[in-house]
Amino acid sequence: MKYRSNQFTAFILVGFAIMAFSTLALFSGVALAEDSPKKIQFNLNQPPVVEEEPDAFTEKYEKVMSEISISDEAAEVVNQIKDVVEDIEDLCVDIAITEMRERRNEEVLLHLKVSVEHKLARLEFQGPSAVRGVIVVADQANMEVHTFQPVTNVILIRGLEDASKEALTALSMGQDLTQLTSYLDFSQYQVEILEKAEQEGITDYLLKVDAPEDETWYVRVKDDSWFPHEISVYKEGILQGTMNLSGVVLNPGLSVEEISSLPNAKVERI
Amino acid sequence: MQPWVRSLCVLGLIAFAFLAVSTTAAAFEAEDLPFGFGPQGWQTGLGLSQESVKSKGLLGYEKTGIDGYLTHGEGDQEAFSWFSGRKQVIMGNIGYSLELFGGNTQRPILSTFLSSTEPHVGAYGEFSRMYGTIGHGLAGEAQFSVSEVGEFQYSIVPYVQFQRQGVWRFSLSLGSSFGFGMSYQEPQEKVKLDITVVGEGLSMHVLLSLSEHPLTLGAGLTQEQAQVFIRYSF
Repeated sequence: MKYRSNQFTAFILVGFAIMAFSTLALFSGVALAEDSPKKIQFNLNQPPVVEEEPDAFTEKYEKVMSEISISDEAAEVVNQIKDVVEDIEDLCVDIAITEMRERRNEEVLLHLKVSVEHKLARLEFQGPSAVRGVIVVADQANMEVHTFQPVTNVILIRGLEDASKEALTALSMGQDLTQLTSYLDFSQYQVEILEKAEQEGITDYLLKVDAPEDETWYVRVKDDSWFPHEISVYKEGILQGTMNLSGVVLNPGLSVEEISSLPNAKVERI
Repeated sequence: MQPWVRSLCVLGLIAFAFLAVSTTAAAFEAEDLPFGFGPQGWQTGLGLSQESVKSKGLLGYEKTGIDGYLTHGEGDQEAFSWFSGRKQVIMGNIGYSLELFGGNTQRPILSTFLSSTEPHVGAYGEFSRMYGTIGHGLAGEAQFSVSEVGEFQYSIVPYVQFQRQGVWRFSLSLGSSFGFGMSYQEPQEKVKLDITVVGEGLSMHVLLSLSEHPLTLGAGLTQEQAQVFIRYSF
């Protein structure tokens, strides 16, 4: 049961990777639809098609923003976050996810590398021991996921679509992919600044985001990076889990090799 | 047990294995022709295997397969055979496997080297757990002879393993006989080495897969009896 819980958390992490990847792709204009406010099409069956309509996104974004009544300061914070995410070409970040499981907490640690340009994402699991050493590389260009399994010293290759389904199922978002693409974009939700603390010239904001499905996200973001460093998810007032993001390096210029290299091991395909 | 009953048991096992094969696969995934020289003189035969892999969650997978071979020694009346059905489940850093087998050779070392014994049926199970690059596990094997001797043998093998330019495993063998062993598997599984010291003595086996050719070469020494093998896969 404990392992199952760990793996569930791991799924959430991978889901986040996919979310992060797709979010970055979104802000780079990889996929964009026009028929509803900020409705994003993320087709997992085919490689994404670049549509050169940068203005359409801005128009929809402005429209959504105008429909949501939030304070000017909250809107400014949301705008700053959007601007940062929008400019990301690649990213390195350490993620710690703590999932609340009745009487105990399950924590998963991993290192995430994402490149929009190369359409690659890499997850290196560092904990718990049930998944430590497992490396997952999602290659969106080839629609493949490569998973290094230390227990058998094998690299397993499967379709990205199948792997995505697993992650989406774990996230209970399988039927609504648009949620993924907007994970770090809070502009479509009601946002309220709950707390503002200044230390050494850096302001740390605590945002309350009214997310769908009766979820409330509490997001912490500092004005030195405008990249969220903590997201806590509550459902019906009960804490579901917390994701801490640290060691964030924006646009480090990751090479294909840095993201996709895996240990020397036998390769098997599903 | 009467010889004809023994033969019937072995034939029954072979028939069962083929029946299982015919219902699970239209064609074998891998076939090979083993050709070698050992204690029974020159040997040749046919090896077959079939395996299916399916994902089990995002970080897991499940393998189901059957393996078997039939060889005939120089001038021998009796053929040597060994068949098995197996299932392996990997979830993150945890692995389980179960194998049911039968035949008149021992469970082949490195899936290749033969050692004749009384006709038997048996089971092999393994649990392994990794913590990144180091791990441990427990394997167990039990086999029951279907000959008139009716001998029961079992072994419990705890082991530790780590990864460094391949997979190294150090094990103890407890049960019907006591011993210890070491095995090495090159990252691409092109070189496999197995050394054990169990009860009767030392055994060493090495297997080399040629990446450019569909050939596997093997050499082994079991209780001062040497074996060499060439397996041609097609």
